[in-house]
Amino acid sequence: MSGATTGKTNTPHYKVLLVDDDVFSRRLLERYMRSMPVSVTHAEDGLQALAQIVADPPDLVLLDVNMPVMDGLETLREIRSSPRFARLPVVSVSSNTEKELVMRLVELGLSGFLVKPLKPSDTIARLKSALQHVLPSTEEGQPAASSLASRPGLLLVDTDPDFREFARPLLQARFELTEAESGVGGLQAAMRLHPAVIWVSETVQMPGAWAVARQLRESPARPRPRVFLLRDGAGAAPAPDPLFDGVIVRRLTAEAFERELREAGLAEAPVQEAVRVLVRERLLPELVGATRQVLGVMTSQEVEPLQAGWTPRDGQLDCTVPLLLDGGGTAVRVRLLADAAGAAGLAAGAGAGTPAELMCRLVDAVAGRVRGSLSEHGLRFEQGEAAATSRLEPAEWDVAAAFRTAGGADVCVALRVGNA
Amino acid sequence: MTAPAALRSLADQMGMDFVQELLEDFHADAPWRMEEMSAAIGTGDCTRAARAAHTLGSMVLTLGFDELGRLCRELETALGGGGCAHLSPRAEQAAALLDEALATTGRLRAGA
Repeated sequence: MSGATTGKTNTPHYKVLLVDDDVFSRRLLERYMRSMPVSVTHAEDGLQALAQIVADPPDLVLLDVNMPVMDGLETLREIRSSPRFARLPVVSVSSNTEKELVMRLVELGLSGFLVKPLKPSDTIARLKSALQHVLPSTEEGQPAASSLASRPGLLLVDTDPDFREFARPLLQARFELTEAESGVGGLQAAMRLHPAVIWVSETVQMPGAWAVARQLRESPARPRPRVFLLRDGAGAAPAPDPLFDGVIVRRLTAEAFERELREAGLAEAPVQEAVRVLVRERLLPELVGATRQVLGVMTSQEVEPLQAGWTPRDGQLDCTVPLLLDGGGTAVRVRLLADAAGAAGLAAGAGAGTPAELMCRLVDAVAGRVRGSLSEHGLRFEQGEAAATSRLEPAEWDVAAAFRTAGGADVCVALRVGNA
Repeated sequence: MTAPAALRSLADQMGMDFVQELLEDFHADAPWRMEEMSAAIGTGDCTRAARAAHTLGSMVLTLGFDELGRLCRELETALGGGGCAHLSPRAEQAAALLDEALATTGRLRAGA
């Protein structure tokens, strides 16, 4: 039902599944949602909820924690174990605000909290906020964010069928490959598929390769793809062109082609490249949400994203947790950075031990969420020990987001993909 | 007992019709939750009694009957620890407070 519109107002209509054995709480929440564009169904325990989620996927689940038969924690774990519903928004409804429980729920990918007793203004504001973050469903009625390719996309725009045929198996070994024969076709595919990498041959016309690259650069779509110019092998080495991220020379032997990929930075271990693209393109919103929740819960402070970003200062405290890919040489380092004064303020507010101890606890919880997100893409990571260091140099990262707590502490969370 | 501030606040924010519906639910649900808790304590079914205390607590705290709400939470915690025969006096105290709450809200319903 979500994603459908009421013809006159074009207002999205959302399906909400309310899971609570307490009829009084259910009715109360239903009444709070009366003015919202929702249709509400209910379940009395986790098992009923799971059956209903499968039979008629909702857009949002409001989940009581303390229930008979199957409690909220177990229900959320079951929901998240299904790739189809790994990203289904779930908001807990509970009077239990013990941090241990809350952290377990957060690690399982909880989207938000409603705390009983349910006060009207706060509850309505949180429900509206939760609905604003609900993604529209697909036409088939599935939650939209359930399946994502784990390999980066590559769009090959080239007029030469022989080269495309030669390159196809070599590229398909690493990328989700899409092909186009013209500049127009390439632009259309780029706008539709948002590939991570685009090769545009200098032979394409209407528009030509430089016009295609310019349009892609000017496109508001983010993240911007890496665009390479594909040119013939004959002649001198090409000069760097600011419109392109690099030049790929046509090579017609597999060995030379592999060398070309490596020199272009496209042939690191395929999985590592896939993880990096995944981190850059998909994980940032989840990282922001998870960090905000974890910071808010563990420091008991309102936390707002810093729109202007954050410039690391000297003397920052850097706490890092490595996530190590099972059976592979890839690591995703989840790091939390704050200047020394900010970290000390957070620790004092949270009643924790040292700033480093608090930061390690925070980053440990965030890393748990990141690990869960990666597992949704079929990538199993082992979580290592959190370690704190004082850094003098700015850290490097693939994606980062910064926050400011109500107490004025700035915190930056970052992910870096590299070798284990 | 006068109407709790939470109930007045609910009426201010959501309207009296909303409160009337809520009180209707309260009068329909709360008595049998209390009976369920007392009966479960009597038979030694602490899990069932704790669940009833939990539900009753949420209900009365929503309406602003804080003393009863706190007592329900205490009972829920004590029942969760196992062994419930000694909790009958506390359950009776809760039943008395619930009677007062029902009487107070009953007057509100009648006055509507």
